[in-house]
Amino acid sequence: MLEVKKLVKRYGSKLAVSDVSFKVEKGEIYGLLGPNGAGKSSTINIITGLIRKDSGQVLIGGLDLDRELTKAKYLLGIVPQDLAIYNDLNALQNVKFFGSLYGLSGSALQKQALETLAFVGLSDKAKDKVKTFSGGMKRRLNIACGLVHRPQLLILDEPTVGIDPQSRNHIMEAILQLNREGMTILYTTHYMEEAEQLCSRIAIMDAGQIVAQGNLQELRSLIEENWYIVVKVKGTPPMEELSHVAGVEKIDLNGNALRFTCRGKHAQLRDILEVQGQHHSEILDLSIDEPNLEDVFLTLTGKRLRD
Amino acid sequence: MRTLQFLKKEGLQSLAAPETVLLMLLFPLLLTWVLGTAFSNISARTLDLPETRLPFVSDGGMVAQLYQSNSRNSSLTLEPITEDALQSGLADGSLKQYVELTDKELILHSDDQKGMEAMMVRMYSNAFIQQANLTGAALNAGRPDLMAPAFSEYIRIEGIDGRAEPSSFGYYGVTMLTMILMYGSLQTVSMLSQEKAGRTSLRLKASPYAMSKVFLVKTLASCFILISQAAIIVLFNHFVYGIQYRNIGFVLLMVVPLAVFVTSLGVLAYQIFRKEEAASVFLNILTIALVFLGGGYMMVSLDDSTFATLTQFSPIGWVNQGLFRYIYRGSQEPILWAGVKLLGLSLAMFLLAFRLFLREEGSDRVAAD
Repeated sequence: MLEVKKLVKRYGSKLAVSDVSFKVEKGEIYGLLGPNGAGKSSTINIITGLIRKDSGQVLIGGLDLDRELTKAKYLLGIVPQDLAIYNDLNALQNVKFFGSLYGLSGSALQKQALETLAFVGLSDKAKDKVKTFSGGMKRRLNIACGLVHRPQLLILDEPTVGIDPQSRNHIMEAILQLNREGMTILYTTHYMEEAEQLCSRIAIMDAGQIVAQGNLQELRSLIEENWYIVVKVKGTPPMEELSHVAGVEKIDLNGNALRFTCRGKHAQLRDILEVQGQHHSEILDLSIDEPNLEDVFLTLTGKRLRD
Repeated sequence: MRTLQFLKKEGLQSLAAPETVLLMLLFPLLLTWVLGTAFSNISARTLDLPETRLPFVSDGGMVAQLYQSNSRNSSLTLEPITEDALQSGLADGSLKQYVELTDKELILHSDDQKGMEAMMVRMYSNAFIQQANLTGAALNAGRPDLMAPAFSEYIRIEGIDGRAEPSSFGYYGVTMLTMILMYGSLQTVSMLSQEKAGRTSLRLKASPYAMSKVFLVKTLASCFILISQAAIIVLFNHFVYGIQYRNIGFVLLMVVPLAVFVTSLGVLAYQIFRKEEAASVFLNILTIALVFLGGGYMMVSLDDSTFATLTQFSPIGWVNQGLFRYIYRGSQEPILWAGVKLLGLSLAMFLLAFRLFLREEGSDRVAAD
């Protein structure tokens, strides 16, 4: 559905997108995961025709953007990171207007607009002015405006930034539902939980480059020599001593839970328990954790996703 | 169809902020009323004579009756008084002057023979006698049509050399109209910047609808809204304030080039400054200057040479002068010529703005802003 080949984009001397290539198959949810400034938005802006690439090739539904940009745009739906809706119009007027830009008109436009509003849970707010909406409702309308013309490829650029958990869940559910109905989705986020929950395949971006891509298992396998021990303790843990245990690369303290990032084999577990014992620190629980995308990103780039 | 939907959206957005539309309409209407009223005395070309009342005694003859009944046309009211009241007033000193009238003669009894009342009586009496003479002459000449000319139809007041001038309401009915149209450039800037400010430009640019069409449609919508506002103002001025425009349809047609000019100016200012605030500041200053040069603020005679010189430097002045000369002198040439000049300027400004727009669209600014 979408093929991006050796994409390059510079802003002056800054390389925003560097030799980026990936392929999104029809019917999948493909994630672009990376911190702010990783090059995700620039990549998406090139795909949607908002900015021009310096080199490379983009094919949407087999159409080359360089030659058939307008045709390709009919296949695309975009949900920008910023709210791109008219506050002084009502929800239905917004959706109908953006639908009309794709050639919809008359009863077909009315029908699809109402269906789309129902899909995002805004049917009862169709005639309400957008300026009266909550942040979450505006986000949902932002999505509806990108969906109304039933695009083959929906591009969502961080659609859940700054919203309440309830609206976020609603949006995540809606995306999964669209995908079940056959829509191909390109999803950018810097929330690894979202990427894990939604995406069938993920490209991890940093500093304008794709540092890794594949499904969740494939990405985890990139750091298979790492393993993660979670120890819940009572009282103050001996952090200084624990950090000197051989093979322990990092310790994250979250409440009374210590998460050890270890390299190598099981020897570290015995050493960690020994240190705890020496300091009479009571262990409440012990588990081995699966590596997550944050671990993958950290291992591959040396940075945290939300740095 | 998409263009119609776009125009509809622009219209809906304009109506969604009725306070702005109302302000654009109320502002000139209110100013026309305030300035029209304030300058109504200054602009009066005739001196209204004070209403003069005088007691009179008469023998009740035909001449006396005619004299009394016609006196009202000259702001002179002769109030009959009885002989007893006359004597009583003279005795106690409350009666300073009176008129005594018979078929033979008219006597003004007064100690203030150079005062206003005495002057009024003399003027009216002369006119009365002349009218009587005219009637007699007309009768002798067999011209009964000249015997009693209707005063209001017979007399017309004009400026020197027979040139008509607008009243204060007539003056501001034109200049406030052109002034508010000039402020319409700010409205154009607001309409253009709206998409960027709301980030909807991203969605528009990602759609298959060409951005050049977006630019053209928004410009067209802005111009159409301005013309609609002008029509409402002109109709209100005419039907509520009673301002005469000679031919409303023609005047509205002649306002169109100004609306086109103002829209093009707004578009160009926005494309040059690229920020609504900066463009608005520039346009505000320019509007004040052009309206001032165009005689928009202070009422000036159409034949004032300084005014005529200054208006040459202001497109608003071209239109003001053109409309005045059409409405009050019946000459179409100045306003037609102003229209041609405005359309020429508009075309040049619009082409430059469009070129700047295309250059901007070719860059990464839309997404980067």
